[in-house]
Amino acid sequence: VTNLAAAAVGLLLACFGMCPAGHSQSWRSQMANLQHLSTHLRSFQSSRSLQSLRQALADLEGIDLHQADEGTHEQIMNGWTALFGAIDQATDSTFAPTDVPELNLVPPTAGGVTYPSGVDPAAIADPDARASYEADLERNRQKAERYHFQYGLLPIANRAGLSFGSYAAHVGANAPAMKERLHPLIRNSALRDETKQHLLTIIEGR
Amino acid sequence: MRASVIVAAHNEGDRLTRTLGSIVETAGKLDYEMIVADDASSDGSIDETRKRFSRARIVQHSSRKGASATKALGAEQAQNDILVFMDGHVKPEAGALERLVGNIERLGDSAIVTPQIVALNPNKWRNDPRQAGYGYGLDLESFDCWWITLPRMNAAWRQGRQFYESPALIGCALALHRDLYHRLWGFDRDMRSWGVEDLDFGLKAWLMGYPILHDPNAVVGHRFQQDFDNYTMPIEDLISNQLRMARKHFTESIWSAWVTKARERFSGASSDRPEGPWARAWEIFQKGRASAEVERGYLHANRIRDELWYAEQFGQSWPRLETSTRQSLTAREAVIAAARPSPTPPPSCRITSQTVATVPANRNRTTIGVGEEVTLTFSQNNAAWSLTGPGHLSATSGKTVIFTASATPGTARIMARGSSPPCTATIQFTTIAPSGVTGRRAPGTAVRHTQNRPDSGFKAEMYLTPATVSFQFLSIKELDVAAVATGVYAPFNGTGHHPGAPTTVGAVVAGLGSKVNGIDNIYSGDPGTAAPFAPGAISFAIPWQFQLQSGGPFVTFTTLNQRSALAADATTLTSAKAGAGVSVHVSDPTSGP
Repeated sequence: VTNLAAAAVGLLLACFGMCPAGHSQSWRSQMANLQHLSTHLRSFQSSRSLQSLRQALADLEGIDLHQADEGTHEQIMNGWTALFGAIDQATDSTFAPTDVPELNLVPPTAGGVTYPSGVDPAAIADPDARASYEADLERNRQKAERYHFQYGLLPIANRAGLSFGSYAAHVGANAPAMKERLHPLIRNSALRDETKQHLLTIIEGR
Repeated sequence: MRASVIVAAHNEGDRLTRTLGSIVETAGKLDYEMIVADDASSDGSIDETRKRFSRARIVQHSSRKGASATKALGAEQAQNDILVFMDGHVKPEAGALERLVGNIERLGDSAIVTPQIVALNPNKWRNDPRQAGYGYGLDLESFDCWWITLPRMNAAWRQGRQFYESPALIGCALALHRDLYHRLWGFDRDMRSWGVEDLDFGLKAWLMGYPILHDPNAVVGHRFQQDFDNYTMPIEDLISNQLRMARKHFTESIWSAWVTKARERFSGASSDRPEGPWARAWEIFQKGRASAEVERGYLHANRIRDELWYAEQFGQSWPRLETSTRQSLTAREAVIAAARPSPTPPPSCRITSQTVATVPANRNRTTIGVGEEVTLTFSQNNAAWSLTGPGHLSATSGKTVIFTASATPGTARIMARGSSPPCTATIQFTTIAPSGVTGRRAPGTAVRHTQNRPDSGFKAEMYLTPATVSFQFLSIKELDVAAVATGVYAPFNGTGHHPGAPTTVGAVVAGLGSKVNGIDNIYSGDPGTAAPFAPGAISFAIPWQFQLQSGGPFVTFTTLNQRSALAADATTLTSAKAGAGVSVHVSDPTSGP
């Protein structure tokens, strides 16, 4: 779904390098932002780099809306849908923020010796204890990686909601006809139902 | 950084890069940022600037707005407190910029300073000191202007330097403090094409009580031209600019008289304008009159002198009141000053702020944590936003933007400028870094201890302090350090404390701080030594570092002492870190978290 949305942005942007001269600098800047958005979303999907997702959000936030015509608004709206789609796809609905990983672990006891918490595995002489400790560390590392990725998504999603709200308010004030298009765009999108509901609530300013 | 050098340009060709080159060459040790404010150039000069001057920050209009709006655009983007305006066809002499900036550092926001202007040969790019201009004069009736020699200006000693009072301002090179720039309402964004904006700005300064001081020891070459080879300059634009200036500064009766005279001057027909330029100029003026009226209201409410004072001060014949009705200038100034409502613009617009973090409860606070995000909303429908100091704005226009504090503590000032009506509002944030860590035993967990063994420990939650701001946009990590161990723990001396990957920080817990998303295990270890146990301790001095979750360098902000000990009584065991701790006896039953 997200790939489709990103592809749609890409297609809309295809004219970026080929459109006839005469477009304003503002238009070119808008198109450049949308092109970067597409690149950053693809990067996020392939690398799961939260920084790419942040950059994609910054691309959308940075578009100068005051020179945007209807065509540009269409692309911006598709951009928002693609961004929320990417967040949806990356979000683990079972994530529990309270189930935090450990900063360090206490190694297993071997031969009556237990090393202090957080000890470097290389310091443990007993091979079985060291292997067990390394396995524990790896499990915790994977848990931490999942946890911090999911936790890192939260503020980005929150900020995206705020910025989307600003965009919707701008469209409502300056291009009411375009705002009407936001509703069906979101309703007919493949976003999660709760995301759709969240965005529709934002559009209505509630 | 001390200054922002703002170079305004429109289709300057290679003169622009030569100007920038001259600035770089002559600036010496001056710490400054270079801003090129471009008025929609189409001659490739900006592309060339990008290639050759990577340090130049280029801000642009998408369509031509004129010299005045371009200078205003540059000023809005400036990051520093001292503004130096230069045209895109000037050549400062060595030390000129340093001298101008030094003057403003001495004078603060009390005056505008202008340099000596010499003629610049644009082909040879060489200044001709034989053709020098110093002060500038202005006739209020015709808005004609002229150069004034040093002997014809009043000398003024300020902060140990000799200056000369110039009645008017020439805009090709000048310096002033940012606060004064805003107090004077900035360059008029609605003046068109070219001309009058500098005269207008200088008159605002004098009437609001801020002199234009000329420093002949700073020398800047300027390319003078007989006509415009790089853009057109419609006469009606010039007249409409004069109308704006007259309307803003003159009292009603003087304004009416000025309009009558100006209409006579500019009504003559020409081959390309059989109706004369006046009609079109008046139409342009009326179209943008609303913003002139708003600024007029501000100027008249805040000025301490009027145009009559100006005419008398600088020996002009118009406008003058009849002697019998003339008030004492001093008395009139006193009356105006007493009626002056405020030295700053009336707050007809404002910025409201709300932290993205929902805790602490005061979301309007202006002291925030490094990396914290704040939503800013302007009271009008749209604003041009600019930032001075560390941090980042999500956009430069719009009703709402998000400010993200940088990783560096400091002060950030954000300005929003609206246009309906013209109005500027600012808000300032103080950004602070974590100052420490507070720990507490994880709720529901027990002391870690093995009966009759010398070990102790516990699980802890860690919180970044202070709790008055949110650090939820940070990650933290501990650094690897070696243990210092004695007594029963001596076998562990030099053992490394090998921490895991960076850990995100969560929301603030009231009274504690921003909660670290991870459980910290504090445990002494048990060397397996047979009883009796020698009193001793194992401790780690662990540096803690933070990083923005969005990336950037790690910064050490505190060092935590993690310590476990067997007391001298050889029975009491303790473990502690960041203010949290447990105590147990060797003989206590085995327990664990």
